[in-house]
Amino acid sequence: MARLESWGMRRFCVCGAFPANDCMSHCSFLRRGPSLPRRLTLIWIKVIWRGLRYILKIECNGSEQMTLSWKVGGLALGLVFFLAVLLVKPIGVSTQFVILDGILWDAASPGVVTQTDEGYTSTNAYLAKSGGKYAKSVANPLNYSFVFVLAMMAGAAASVFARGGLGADERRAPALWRANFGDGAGKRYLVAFLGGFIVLYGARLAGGCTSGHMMSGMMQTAISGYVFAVGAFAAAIPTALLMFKAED
Amino acid sequence: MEIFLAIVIGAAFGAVLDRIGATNPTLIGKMLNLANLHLMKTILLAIGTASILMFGGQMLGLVDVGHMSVKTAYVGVFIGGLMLGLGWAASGYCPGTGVCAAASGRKDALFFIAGGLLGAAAYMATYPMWKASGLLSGSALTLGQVPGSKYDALLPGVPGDVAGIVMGAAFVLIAFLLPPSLTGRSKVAAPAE
Repeated sequence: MARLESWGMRRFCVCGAFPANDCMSHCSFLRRGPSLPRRLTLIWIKVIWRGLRYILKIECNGSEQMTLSWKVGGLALGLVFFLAVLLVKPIGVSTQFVILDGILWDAASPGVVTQTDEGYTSTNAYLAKSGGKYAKSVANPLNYSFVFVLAMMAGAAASVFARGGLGADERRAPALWRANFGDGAGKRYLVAFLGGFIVLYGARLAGGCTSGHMMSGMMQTAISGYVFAVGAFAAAIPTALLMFKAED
Repeated sequence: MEIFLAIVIGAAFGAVLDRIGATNPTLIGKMLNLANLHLMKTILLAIGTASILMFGGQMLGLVDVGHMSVKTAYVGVFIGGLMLGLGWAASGYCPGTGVCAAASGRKDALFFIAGGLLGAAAYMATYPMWKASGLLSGSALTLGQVPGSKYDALLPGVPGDVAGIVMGAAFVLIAFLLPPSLTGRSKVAAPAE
């Protein structure tokens, strides 16, 4: 206590929570007696953490669990797409489904992807196209685009964890689905599976998905991006209007 | 270094996708049935912001034009877009948000990924047919001629970087003008600002 008073902190504990007179009882780290720099570091981590939580709280749209306002969220998302093209190349995801397919296929029956004098090729025409660039990624999974998707999964998981995780109902089927089709998981899983099939078939036919064509494409004024966006919304809006009539 | 950037940018992308609600099929569904356009405004502002920063940076010589990667436009892009739109609306996931949702504990997203792997494999098997149909041939075009880029322009007389900034500004403007809902039936709370 004497040391605390000598720092001029008579009224409040360094942890900021309680009056200083019972500091030793609630601040276990003071009892263990770490150095002053360490104590100050801990306090600063706490201050920054509380500040971040405060900012996230005021920027959240209260009606939808922890969603950023469109202005903050849009600037953040735009910044990520800009950083990608500034530092490396535009963001894209759907190709990596093909790469993972190739990795699994090559593991199941070796010889699907082979090395040549110029690079890589494959017995599959799609993996062998464009000078075997997909075949090369299959042979070397530790490449930028594949690691990008793994990191993206980790980032999303960390973000969800930091805001408290999802409930059991939400993990099984999203709220809007349950409001329209009930709580049964089987139908939801079937539609998600069929949806995944048609989404990835379409994305590969188009040569990109929502990230690669719609976002990265339109930000570069690529004509293919506009064509893709028109097609995607022309199908998506009527589908959603027909399927989701009830509110969650 | 590239792997390091993949981890940093990838993780930031995943976290932002979660925080704007794009990994939540409920918000995708309500955007596509026009009940709550909050996410649409977010996406439009993001495209506009990224476009202005990239083309502005190119004009100032700060952004490498060689980093641009413009995809080819062909009939299959439109057909594929229609297919993706159908599956996106039904499942609430696109490839990127699907993998993020699965990582954050959504079990239905695991089924989406399984279907996606099978769909991608089906395309790999049927690729020669599409190739032979001629629907995959076209050219990689930008709106205007971007100085220093290898891509041709749809409108050759128009400077591509200026066109990019104008289009970016248009996206930002639409994001601001778009109402929170087009059906008026959703109880859309105004975001705190």
